[in-house]
Amino acid sequence: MRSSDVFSNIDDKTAERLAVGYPVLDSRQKERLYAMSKRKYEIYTDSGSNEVSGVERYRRPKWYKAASIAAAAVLVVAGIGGSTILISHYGTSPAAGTGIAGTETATLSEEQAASIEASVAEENRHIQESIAEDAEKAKAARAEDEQKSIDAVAKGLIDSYREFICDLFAGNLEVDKNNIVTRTIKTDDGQFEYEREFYLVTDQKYPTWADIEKCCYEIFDEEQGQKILEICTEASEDVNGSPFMCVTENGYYIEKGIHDNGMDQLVSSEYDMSAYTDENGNIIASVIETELSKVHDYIIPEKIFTIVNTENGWRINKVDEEDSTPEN
Amino acid sequence: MTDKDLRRYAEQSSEAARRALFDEYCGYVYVICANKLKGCAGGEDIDECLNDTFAAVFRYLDTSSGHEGDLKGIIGTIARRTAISYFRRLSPDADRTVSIDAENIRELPSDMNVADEAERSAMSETVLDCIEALGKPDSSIIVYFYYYGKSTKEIASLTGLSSTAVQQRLSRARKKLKKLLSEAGISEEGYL
Repeated sequence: MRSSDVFSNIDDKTAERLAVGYPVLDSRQKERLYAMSKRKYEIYTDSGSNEVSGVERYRRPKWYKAASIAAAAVLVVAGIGGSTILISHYGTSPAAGTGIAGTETATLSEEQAASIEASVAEENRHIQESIAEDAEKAKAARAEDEQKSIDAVAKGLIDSYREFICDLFAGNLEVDKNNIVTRTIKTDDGQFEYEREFYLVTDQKYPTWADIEKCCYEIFDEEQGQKILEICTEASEDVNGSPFMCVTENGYYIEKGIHDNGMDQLVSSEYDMSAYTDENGNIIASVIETELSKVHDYIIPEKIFTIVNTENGWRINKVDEEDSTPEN
Repeated sequence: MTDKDLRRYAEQSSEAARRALFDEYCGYVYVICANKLKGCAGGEDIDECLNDTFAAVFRYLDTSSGHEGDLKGIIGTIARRTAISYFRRLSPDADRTVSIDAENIRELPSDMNVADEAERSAMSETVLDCIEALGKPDSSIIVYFYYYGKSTKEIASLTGLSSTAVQQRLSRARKKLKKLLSEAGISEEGYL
């Protein structure tokens, strides 16, 4: 049994406890819902009262039969009269001509018909071709537009990601080097202790820790954002491992070593990106560091970003590194 | 509300009886609808489901004079059936048919298993006790998130906290709840 079973398909007792202990509707919402329920009930009962019962015999008016006969007679007379006028106006009918004349007329008609048929078929073929061509063009244009929008989403998020990561870990943040706090760090097994110093962050881009959190959730989805923030500030009160940040009531601090030994300036370096949509509708974007690869003699792995569409918009869900070490 | 109370209200007017019934069971029906439709329906669909439930309950009361039995149970059943039909309509992936060769064919209930139901009910109660032990607002956050299927933004407006604070508290409360459930003997993987 999983969480979906524990928290779903609740029984009456649980439903009542939740309704009493954790209500979600205020009086205004209740009023609105009652009015809507009442209206639905009234609609049902109104439509229920319009039931049809009993049988009423339908009597066709007597004049109807006479009028029908007269109308039919008019049609017949008009048809015969029309034909007579046409024959008398244009002479004999084609069927009344001689055998030779009739054959010639018939031969010409067949040729004409064949030629007309051929030209119509040709025309139809042209139309079909042009429709297919237009459809193909529209499809290509749609695919191009789609690709453009995928690229725009992926590029926007990846640029924000690079900037944010550099701000956090590459020494981009402005700090007050005179305002330092010291924390005792314990190793995971608790056997060793050592001290780490942290600078107070004074950067106006992120005045408080809440601004860092806000920026993080604008780039990453909830799960990944939480993970990154947890890694940064891991147990700030009881410090274990190697946190990068330290949040106190007076502000937040960044670890001295991290700040002073900044990494590569990813923000401004050039990169190649290719993106596509997978079968789940997520955007998969791969990034190759073209500029940094030229500078360094080691291989910089290709990064694969999984970007998902959340209720708040597109967000990075995962960043993987492709192992591009050449096989020997 | 008992049948006697309902009859008393009905003596005044049927409108008064409907109003009293709605006030009494509105929250209860909302929990059932929201719980069944979480993940596949939005707030408006849940409201619609609640409206349909009450419209059906009012019609039921019109047609069944002097009905016997548990009124709450009847309302709960109508709410569940309405929510299930909404779920089928709104969830394109909902399994409407089951292959006879499918592995889970055994899980189809041929009849109500009293022992299973009792065990399930007891476990639901224990889970809720553990959630309540977290204290407010953590217990509210867990309930709104897991039982009602509310988003962190909606929980933020219900609890008066910021969205970020809700996310952080949810993460911590989840860990605490896992520990409490484990102490209570519910330690299977995948609950939270």
